[in-house]
Amino acid sequence: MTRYILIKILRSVFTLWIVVSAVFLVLRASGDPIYSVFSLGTPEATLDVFRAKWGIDKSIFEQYLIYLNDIIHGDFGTSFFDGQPAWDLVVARLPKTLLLGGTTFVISVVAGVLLGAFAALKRGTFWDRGIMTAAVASFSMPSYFLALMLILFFSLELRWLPTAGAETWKHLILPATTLGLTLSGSIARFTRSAMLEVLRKSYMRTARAKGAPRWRQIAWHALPNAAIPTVTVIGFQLGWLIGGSVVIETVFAWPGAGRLFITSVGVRDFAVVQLFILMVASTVIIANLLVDILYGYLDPRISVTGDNK
Amino acid sequence: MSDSLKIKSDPSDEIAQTPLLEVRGLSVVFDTPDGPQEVVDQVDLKVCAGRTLGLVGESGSGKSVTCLGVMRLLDTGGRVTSGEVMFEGRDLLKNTEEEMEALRGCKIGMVFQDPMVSLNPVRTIGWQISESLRLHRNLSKAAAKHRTMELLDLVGIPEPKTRYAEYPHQFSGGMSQRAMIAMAIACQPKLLIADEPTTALDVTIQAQILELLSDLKKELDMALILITHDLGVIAEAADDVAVMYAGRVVEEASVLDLFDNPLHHYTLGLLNSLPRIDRSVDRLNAIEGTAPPPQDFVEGCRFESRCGHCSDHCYGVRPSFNQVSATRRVACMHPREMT
Repeated sequence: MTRYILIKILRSVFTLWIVVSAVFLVLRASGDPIYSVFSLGTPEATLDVFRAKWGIDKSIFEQYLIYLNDIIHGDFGTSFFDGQPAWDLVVARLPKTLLLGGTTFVISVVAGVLLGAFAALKRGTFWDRGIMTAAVASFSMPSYFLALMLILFFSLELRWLPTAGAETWKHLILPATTLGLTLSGSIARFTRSAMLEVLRKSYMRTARAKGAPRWRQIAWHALPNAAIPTVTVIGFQLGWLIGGSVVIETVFAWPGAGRLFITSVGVRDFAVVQLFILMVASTVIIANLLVDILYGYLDPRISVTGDNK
Repeated sequence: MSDSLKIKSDPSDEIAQTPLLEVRGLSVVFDTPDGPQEVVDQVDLKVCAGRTLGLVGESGSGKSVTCLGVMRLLDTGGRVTSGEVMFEGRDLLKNTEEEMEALRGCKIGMVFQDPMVSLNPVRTIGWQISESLRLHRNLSKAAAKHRTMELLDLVGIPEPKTRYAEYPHQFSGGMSQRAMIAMAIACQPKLLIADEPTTALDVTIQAQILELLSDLKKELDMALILITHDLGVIAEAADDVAVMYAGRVVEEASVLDLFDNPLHHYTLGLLNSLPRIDRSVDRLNAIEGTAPPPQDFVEGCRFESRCGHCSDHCYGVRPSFNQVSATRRVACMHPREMT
């Protein structure tokens, strides 16, 4: 187990190195930050002072080595704009992002699994078709479009909920619903197909032949088996959730790290963008590692140590 | 020949006994895209306490479906359309689902064909066996565990302590079937239904499982219904036999009578197709043709197309049972001679 995790961590470090290098290159290839900081016609001398201060007068390769060295020492650079460490800027925005993402994730998993399982049990009925139609519709729709429709209806038409901001719990409802509808739609679909697969298995008949009541067959025999493929899918969805929240935070002016990222990309604030990407990549890697461990726990046939058949 | 006279002249012990399970006129229909198809047609069966009824027939003859119908465990699309299933004086078909749940795994246990897929892969063997006990016996966790260990030992699984905590994938086919049997007999049922219990297993293991079943039957004083397509299994383990063909029972007899003197031409065909240890043959005598699928079931004799003895009487009308003796009957217009 320890060995397995060690290998995983080494691989993760390698993945992170690739992500960090790619972002570093792409950012520098996309243009000079100097023009988003200074207006045209600023004297060359001033620009040179700025360049020297931030080390962007050096060659790309030198900058890259300095950057890597800094990261290893826990220094993620400083924002061009407010001169604060990028780490402080991003971390200050994290609670809001975690609040939105966490709420969405928990609600989507619970709702998706319950609706999917329910649809599978009511296969072919009105309920099944209704839930599946809604699921497909919700995850086929672009999230910014869904967001605008919800704002139009609940904020502008009914005037129940605020359009933007993050002051009260009411502000959380619309962005979390937008993100959650898409996420729970795909989770519901996967849960349904996993459940249908499991309900056909011979061991479900064994459970019936034992005299287990219906709820017990489902809760103790079917769901633990259906959870195995579902958990994998939910793990992958986490990466999607982060990507989706960047868009949604912008639409709803939610003051999270995702919105900071969008603004920083616009002005080529290298340090902030690099740190944000690094954090997203780490989150996805950690989520996948957790899924792997959980997988071994849910399915006794799979041994994470790899020493069993 | 007078049937009533015959019965009086042969008052053997097993008729005096009321049967533990009596199936009368059971029909099962499956809904298919081509409309409803009757796969089990007016089946009668009788099992007395302490005896083994062998239910034999080719695959598709309706033997498993009959038993699933008795247990009311038919998959969606299948339903019992007529008949009675009398068990301990009650018609199981009139029971509520809750009453059936209380009965399944408690008074009637069931063992299935392929033990490797009939056990839940994410639950330990111990958990799955003790579940029966917790459901029907209301035992404490510790008591259920203790009893499960005893059961593992009873069905011949070595090292019950270790095996209790293991998962089905760590069990061999034979061991899995032993675990399935332990699960089915956990609550000491009156009746055990074993649906092809040895078909998925190696030949050497088959004999062990059959022996285990007959030992347990004696020890727990159960009745056993043994579903199989293998007459070798029947010869080894059954007391009485019902031969099924195309959804109907065609012959019933005690095992000795059946092997000595089969009355239905289908039964004879089955016996002739067995490999013999005392004679060397170049080819086995297979019955010509194949059994009809349910959509081709006719009202008249369904064996007619493969039978060398049919006449005009065999068409159109269902062959009625000819009660040859108290324990034997045959549904054929031209049965073979009693010898």
